[in-house]
Amino acid sequence: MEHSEQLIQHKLRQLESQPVKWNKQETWLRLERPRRKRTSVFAYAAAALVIVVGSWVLYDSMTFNSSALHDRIAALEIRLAQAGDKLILASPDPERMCAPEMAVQPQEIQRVKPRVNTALPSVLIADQLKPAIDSTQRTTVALQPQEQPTVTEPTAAVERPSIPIILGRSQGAAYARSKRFSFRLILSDPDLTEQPITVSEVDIVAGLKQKPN
Amino acid sequence: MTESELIRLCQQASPRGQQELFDRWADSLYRVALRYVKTDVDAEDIVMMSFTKAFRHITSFRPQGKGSLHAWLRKIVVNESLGWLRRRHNFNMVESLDDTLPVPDLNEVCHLPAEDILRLVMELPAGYRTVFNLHVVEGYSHQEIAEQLGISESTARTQLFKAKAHLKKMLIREGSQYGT
Repeated sequence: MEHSEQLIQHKLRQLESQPVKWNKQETWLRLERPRRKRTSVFAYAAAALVIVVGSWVLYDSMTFNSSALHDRIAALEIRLAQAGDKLILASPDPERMCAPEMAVQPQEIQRVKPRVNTALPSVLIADQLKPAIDSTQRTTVALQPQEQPTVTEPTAAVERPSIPIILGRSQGAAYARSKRFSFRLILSDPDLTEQPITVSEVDIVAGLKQKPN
Repeated sequence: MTESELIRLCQQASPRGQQELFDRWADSLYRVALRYVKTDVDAEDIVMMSFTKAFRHITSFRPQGKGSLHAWLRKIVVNESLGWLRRRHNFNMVESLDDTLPVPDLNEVCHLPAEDILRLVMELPAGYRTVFNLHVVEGYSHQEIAEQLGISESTARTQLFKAKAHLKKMLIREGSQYGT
């Protein structure tokens, strides 16, 4: 490198160390912004994840509550139907089945003996019943053995099944319950625990007992 | 804070260390970038990109004495500036020059104040200015310039010759203007 070039190099490099007016702060902020942006992206992602998980838990909880309720209703309906059948069989007394003022007492039926017409003579009837064919007109016919129809024994007896009355979405709820996730966060929630149905509840629903106030 | 402490902090991705590094060297690196790309906005962009790259790769930096960090940063800025120029200018022109022509001397130019020299350099066309900066200020050989810009060595020589001639011409023109 020539001497003049070295001199120019020295002067220009010296000039580089001089302070200069430029958008230094703005450039630093631009340099820093992607890092802040990255942090905020992580924050947004975390918030979105929390919302999604929360919604899922809420949905699962609601599904579980719904299915539990449907199960209880279904069980109650079945027991109600059974209890109703038993009540009908055990007490045909209308006073027990309906209100006393609605009950109708059965009336005695007066049976009337049929009258016999004795006006016609019995002899006439006897003559009329005599056969009008002579003995000469009779022919003897050999009886042919008649083929007996084959009768097959029944192999199975078909009965009408007793179909329990199920109202609402009980079957759908049972299906949903079998398919849903068994993820429960709040196990201590009383709504989530299944309680046995007492007979008194059945009686209350059937109208046989008054609900205690 | 010493240079080794600064390097260690930056290698640990400490925001304090990074800001210290930026505060210490951003001004001089901005001037380097400005000498290549000419406009303030582009020079700021290059400084920003260079520091981003430096913060990312400082873990692989091995200090070799005092001033090595600045030299490393300066090299990053020069490379970024060349990349910026390559995207906007075509350096691939094949130029040849008669070797018998005398090389223009820069004796008159080198006696000018630094600001005037810089102003004259900034008025050079992009190709001439880039080759002049790389050869005269950065100290690159013609072979290195040819590799950096993807041109032939003879083209690099021609560009430098024309840059010097252009500077001399500008100086004469300005001298005549000053004289009137």
